Amino acid sequence: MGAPKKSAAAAAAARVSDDPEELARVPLQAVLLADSFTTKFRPITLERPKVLLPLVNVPMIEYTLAWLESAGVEEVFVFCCAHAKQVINYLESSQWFSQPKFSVTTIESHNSVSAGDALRFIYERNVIHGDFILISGDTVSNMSLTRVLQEHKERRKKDSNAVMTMVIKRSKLSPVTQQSRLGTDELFMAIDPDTKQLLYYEENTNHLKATLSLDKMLLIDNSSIRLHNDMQDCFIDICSPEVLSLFTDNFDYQHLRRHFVKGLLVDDIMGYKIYTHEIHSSYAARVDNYRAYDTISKDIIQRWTYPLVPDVLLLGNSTTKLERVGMYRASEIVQSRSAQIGPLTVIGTGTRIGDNTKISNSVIGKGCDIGSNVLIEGCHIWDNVTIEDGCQLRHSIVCDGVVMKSGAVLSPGVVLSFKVVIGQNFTAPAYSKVSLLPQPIKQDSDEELEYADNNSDVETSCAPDNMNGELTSELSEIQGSATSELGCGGVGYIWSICEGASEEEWRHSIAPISAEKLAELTQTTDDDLEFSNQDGNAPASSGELRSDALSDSEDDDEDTKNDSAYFEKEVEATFLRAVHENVQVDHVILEVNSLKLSCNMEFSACAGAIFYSMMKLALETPHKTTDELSRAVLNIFNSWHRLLKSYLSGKDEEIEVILKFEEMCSESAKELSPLFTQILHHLYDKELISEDAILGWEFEKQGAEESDRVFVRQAENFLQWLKEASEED
Amino acid sequence: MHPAVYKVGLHYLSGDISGGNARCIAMLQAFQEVIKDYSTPPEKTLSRDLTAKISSYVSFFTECRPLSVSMGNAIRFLKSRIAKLPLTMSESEAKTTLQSDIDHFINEKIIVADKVIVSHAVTKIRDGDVLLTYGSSSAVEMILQRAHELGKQFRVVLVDSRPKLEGQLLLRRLVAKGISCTYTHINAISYIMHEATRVFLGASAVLSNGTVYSRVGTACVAMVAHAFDVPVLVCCEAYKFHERVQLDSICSNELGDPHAIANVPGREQLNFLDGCAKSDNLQLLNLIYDVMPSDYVSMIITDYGMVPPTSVPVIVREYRREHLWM
Repeated sequence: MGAPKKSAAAAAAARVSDDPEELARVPLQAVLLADSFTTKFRPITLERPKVLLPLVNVPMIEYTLAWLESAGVEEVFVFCCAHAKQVINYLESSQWFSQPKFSVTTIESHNSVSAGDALRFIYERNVIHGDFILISGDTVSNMSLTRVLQEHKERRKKDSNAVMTMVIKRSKLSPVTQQSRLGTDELFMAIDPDTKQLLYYEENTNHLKATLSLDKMLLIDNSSIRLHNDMQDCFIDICSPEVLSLFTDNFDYQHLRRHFVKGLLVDDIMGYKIYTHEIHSSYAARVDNYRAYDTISKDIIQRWTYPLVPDVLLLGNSTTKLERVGMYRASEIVQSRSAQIGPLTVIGTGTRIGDNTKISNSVIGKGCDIGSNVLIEGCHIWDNVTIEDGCQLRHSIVCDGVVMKSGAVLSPGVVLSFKVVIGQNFTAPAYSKVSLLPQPIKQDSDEELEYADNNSDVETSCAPDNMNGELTSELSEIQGSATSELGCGGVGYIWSICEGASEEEWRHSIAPISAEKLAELTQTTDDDLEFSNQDGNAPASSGELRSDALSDSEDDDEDTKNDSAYFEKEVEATFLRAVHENVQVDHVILEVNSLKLSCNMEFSACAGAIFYSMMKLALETPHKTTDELSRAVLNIFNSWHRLLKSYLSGKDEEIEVILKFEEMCSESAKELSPLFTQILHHLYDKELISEDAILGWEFEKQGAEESDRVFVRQAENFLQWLKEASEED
Repeated sequence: MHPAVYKVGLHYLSGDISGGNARCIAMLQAFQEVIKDYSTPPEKTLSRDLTAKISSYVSFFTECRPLSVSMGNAIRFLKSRIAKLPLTMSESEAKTTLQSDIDHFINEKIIVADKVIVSHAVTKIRDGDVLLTYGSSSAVEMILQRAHELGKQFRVVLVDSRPKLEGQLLLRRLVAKGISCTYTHINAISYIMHEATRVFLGASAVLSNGTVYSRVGTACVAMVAHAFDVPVLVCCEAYKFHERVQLDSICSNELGDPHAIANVPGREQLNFLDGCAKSDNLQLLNLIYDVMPSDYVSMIITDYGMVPPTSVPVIVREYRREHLWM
């Protein structure tokens, strides 16, 4: 928060500068980003910009522009980047350029890779003169801007540092998946309940994390704070012109939320403030991922977005009629009598539907040809798609010009990009994405990396523009190579799901989350502890041992078990690193010591863990016979005995090591069991383990069950020899 | 005043317990508590004194909210059981007999009866049906859930009305069960009736001329259904049958809070009739029940089977006799 004096002065200055501005009324302006700067809609967005993707048969940008017009915006600057030509061509052919009192201007840039770049570019053009609305071209809303603009203006008069007002809406998270119905992650916001100032903004992408840390200064500076995790960010911002200059000043701001909003919240020197405006009954949402696409489509069909609904939002000259149970039918549809067209379905002009076909909860575009006995459930089928007899489609997106040969099946979550051909009786696996374009080799493993490798991003997204011509010639080539991938006669590449994302694929997919996944998640949240325990595959130390070493903390048994597994893993990693990078023994000792402190472990645990990692290393070195294995073990002991020695300060630790060894031999590393005595002897020779400890171990085992005494018996000769030796002394 | 009775009475008053069955069960359970804690005062007989006590409690309940037919029948049953107790019976024996009688009544006449009704009614639901219901009836809810469990493919149209909007709670439960629902208000009944293939309604009472006495609005739904030739199935346990005859809903009804219909749900501070609500020449009428003539009723589903409304007098007669035997 800025000093009161300063803000008062600033407010006074603002008032002076405001007056002439009010005299010369500035038309209400909006900046529409016609590029999402993400890759979430790939592979579709490789061929067509996201804002032109049809949402209930109408390109998304239409919704945004229609709303802006109805909300009283007079000038819109459409910022185009990827596929700029397509966006401009579309707008030129649409009615938007010829509207009275509503001017649409396109701004084209080819080297912007983020929203930050876009805003800097717009700032350079010097076209924004007053408060403006910043949205992306994939927003669907029917809210009225009057109140929020008024609030924003009033706040600005009082305090010129109030640069932005964010629109938010209540939306409950699913308790199981921790995501909203739009598929977005949990969002934490701290808002001052009186002034509605935004104080904290954090997206929680880690679904298992249950903690949130707030700066305590927030509580000192503000008399009251309301923390929300039930708010959805609508991505509709009312910004003052300062926002643009802020982006220019901070050239590293890229992402609107992650950098800009957080940057302003953290920065207390400039004292800029962000406010929120909650909407209750009106609709506002952004198509951020496939799940949001599906949800928003349903909302549109169910008329939550009125007047932006299919029968009101006219596009071209086709009229759509609303019938009972949420059926929208355009004109010139040829439909068989026996076809069952279920609830909440939209069917576009000139579509033909064959006998006994069942369609429910779906959107079908213009000029589609659907054969007989087809089952379509919860799908989004775009224009000019051919679906032959007997196909089954569930919860998928099928882009323009796709051909599905008879009997093909789409499992839930499939995305078929433009002009793909699915072969006869081929079953596309769940969540697969199919495109005519091969998957870029340098695939962003994470959808967050929108600027990390921005150069390749721009290249690939520009490529299809030039490629369109070559595409047909390439088709035949692809046909040869990809037949096997998509069945007989199929054309296209199945994109492999990248490693990290495959886990999360279901979260953002178009398909509803399956019952098994939900059950699994409930299970996970229920026994989180046990789950993570199974996860760490390091063997837990034997019960006897633990009670020995940690007798005082038996209450939190479960906890310590976890801790020790974690500790063992860490030590192992440290040790392996030391071996591979030739770290000096002293340094390793230092590292293990610090690990010991951080995990609150005893020396005996360290010794056990180090021994365990040594043996594991020996096992991992390639060996054929037990002889070679024993040699490997000896080698490791020779080079690292100092490390182990430094933790073997007493008899207890030594016994621990033997017990650990025994446990390994009997459980995780059976290969070692024949070598038990040999290695034990070696440890004795190296003076790592004293005679006392070995005898102590035998003594401890005396009362144990026969099965536990296998190794004692194996080592009988050695023990005998030890005893005799001591007697001789 | 016994605390259990007091508690239940206050629940009636605040509307926490509503619906014929729920109110009846709550009352009977309160009486069970009363009987458990009862001891005959000296120089009095149990049957006389307990009857008097129960009567005083009943008048308290009536003050909280007028009795429903179901409650009236249950009270009559209890009083006749008390009167029939042999004089020779010891007090503790009498008390346990009465308590088990009440348990029997609840179990037999309400819980098992509902199960029987459900088993009858689900046979009337076919795949592809669109079932329309009004308000929130416990019997109808059980029927819908059972049919859903049996895997029948049907859709529910839930019609609701202000000011109580009881249907919303039912809607929530049905949607949570995964039944596909359409929710609308009674203003749209003539539009939505096109889609319906059957109407399932609950009832507060069935009178001996076949008239169904139920939540206000039910008659309207039935009338529209009749006009559209959609069968109207009324689900009602036989203990709610009454020998009274009633021709309109004004001669005997219950009045709710008149201000409830002036308020706008969800927005406490807003009132459409602000200012003129206290005017002398305005009367707000918030009726709770209405009667539906037997013409509109295709069938009444009771624990004695599915009967036409003309057979109600027979059941009332038979039921009485059985009553006496119990």
